[in-house]
Amino acid sequence: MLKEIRFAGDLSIEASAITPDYKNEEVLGLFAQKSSLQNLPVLLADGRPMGLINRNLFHSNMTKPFYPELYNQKSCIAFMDKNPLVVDATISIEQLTALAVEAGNKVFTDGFIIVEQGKYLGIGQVLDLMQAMTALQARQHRQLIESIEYASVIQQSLLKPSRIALEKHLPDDHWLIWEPRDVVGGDMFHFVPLDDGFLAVLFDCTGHGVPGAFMTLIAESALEQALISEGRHDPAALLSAINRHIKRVLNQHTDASGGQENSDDGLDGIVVRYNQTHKTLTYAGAHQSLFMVPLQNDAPVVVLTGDRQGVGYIRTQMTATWKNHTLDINEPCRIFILSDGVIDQVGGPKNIAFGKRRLTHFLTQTRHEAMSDQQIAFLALFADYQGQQIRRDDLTLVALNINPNPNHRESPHDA
Amino acid sequence: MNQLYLASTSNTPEVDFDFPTRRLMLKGESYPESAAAFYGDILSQTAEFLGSLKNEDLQVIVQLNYFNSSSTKMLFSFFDRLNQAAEAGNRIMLDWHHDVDDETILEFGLEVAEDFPAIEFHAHALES
Repeated sequence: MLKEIRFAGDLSIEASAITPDYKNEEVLGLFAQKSSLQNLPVLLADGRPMGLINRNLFHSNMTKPFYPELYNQKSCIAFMDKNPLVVDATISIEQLTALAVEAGNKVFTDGFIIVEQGKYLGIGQVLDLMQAMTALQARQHRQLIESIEYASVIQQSLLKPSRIALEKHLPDDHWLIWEPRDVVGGDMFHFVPLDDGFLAVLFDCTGHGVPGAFMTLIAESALEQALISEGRHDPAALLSAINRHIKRVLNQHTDASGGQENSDDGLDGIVVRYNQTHKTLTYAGAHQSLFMVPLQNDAPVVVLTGDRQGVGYIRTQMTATWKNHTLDINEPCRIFILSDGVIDQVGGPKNIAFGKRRLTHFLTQTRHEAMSDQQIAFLALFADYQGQQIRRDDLTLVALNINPNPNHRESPHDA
Repeated sequence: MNQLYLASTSNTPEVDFDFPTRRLMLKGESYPESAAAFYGDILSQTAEFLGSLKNEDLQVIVQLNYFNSSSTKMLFSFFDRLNQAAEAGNRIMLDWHHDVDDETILEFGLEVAEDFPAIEFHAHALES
């Protein structure tokens, strides 16, 4: 089909029609003459359709005993369907499909009559309609995918400066997985190298797919502004500023919407500030944890939890605050920040969540591996755990090596 | 009020809210594209039902092995309403089922228990 079929009229097949003064004998003759003729429209003198004679139904009647004798000379409307599906040429393929389904079985055998300003134009067949509908869906699907793929280019551009900064600032001391479930997603990370360390941010916004991606744009712009107003040294202040920003732009503050339904969206996240001079790590978290893995003396992995309060959302107050937690970092360690998609992924033999315990175990087992090897090992473990299950959420995991004594970095195991 | 029943789908749980027998059950996974749309009617019917309870016992059974963050918000609204009904004098028992190895779901349940203290919370580890 070269032509794009969008309207009922595009499906019209020219078919000869008859008038009610035709006799059944003549109809019999017409069907006999042309074996491909399945349906014969009957029109009023002004061209408006009156009904449709179906070949098989007509024959099954006319072969009954004495029917030919009784009906041969009678008007052809005797065996005509008086209520065929009649549609205007200008209705869309989607509307036509809905009408055809509503009309039921007979449309599959009889087809439908297409009219233009009430006058007969031609007949249409269900098979052609199905082909048109399939092509239309494929076209719409392609447009949607192309649109989302382009959105993904924009979303990746936002993450690019952070990727470049990580490569430059911590070339062998980081790894990063950012995998949206549906091409675009609700996870974002942000990395700011500083003279005396860095600031790392991970946000897991509500939703995934397109709504999630919208939220990452709001979150990214909220973060940019918060970095200007609050500086780069106070994670809790950054979360508070981002909370205010999200609530303001999404009209979540009281009565802002004038009685309309408010958006109840926001994000979970964590902001980490590492200060190389003071050898301290300060973090503030909203429903997110930080996994800290000491690299020496095989000390256990520590899971540092954030506050149980989301950023944005209706139930979080405009004046909400988060707590800063500060740790001294005297020995090399690896820190991991991640979105819900890691811990909550369903899989394994029991189809249950991946879980913190499994992640902690993995991080303990692989703590001495090179960063790139650890990333490969994690991806293999996660893929194996997920197995045949579908990905439930967006997945982000950022791993950062911290070495408070860079002069000793050649021999991290000699403590 | 009549029973509210929705069969499970690949991304929504089985909802069996048998209001007449005072037994509400959620079972399966929850990650609909729009949690607000899925849970809107469920929550409003539940609110209406809870409003009609006076000094009664209600059993709530939750057996979910995955829910996304927007479903979590809806579940919190649900528990919030149950908690209010408990504070109003009803006895609300929440049976929280989780796989014996699923610490993620158990932890979430314990948070619910902490946040909604008027609800009688019972965790049940399922062997499998």
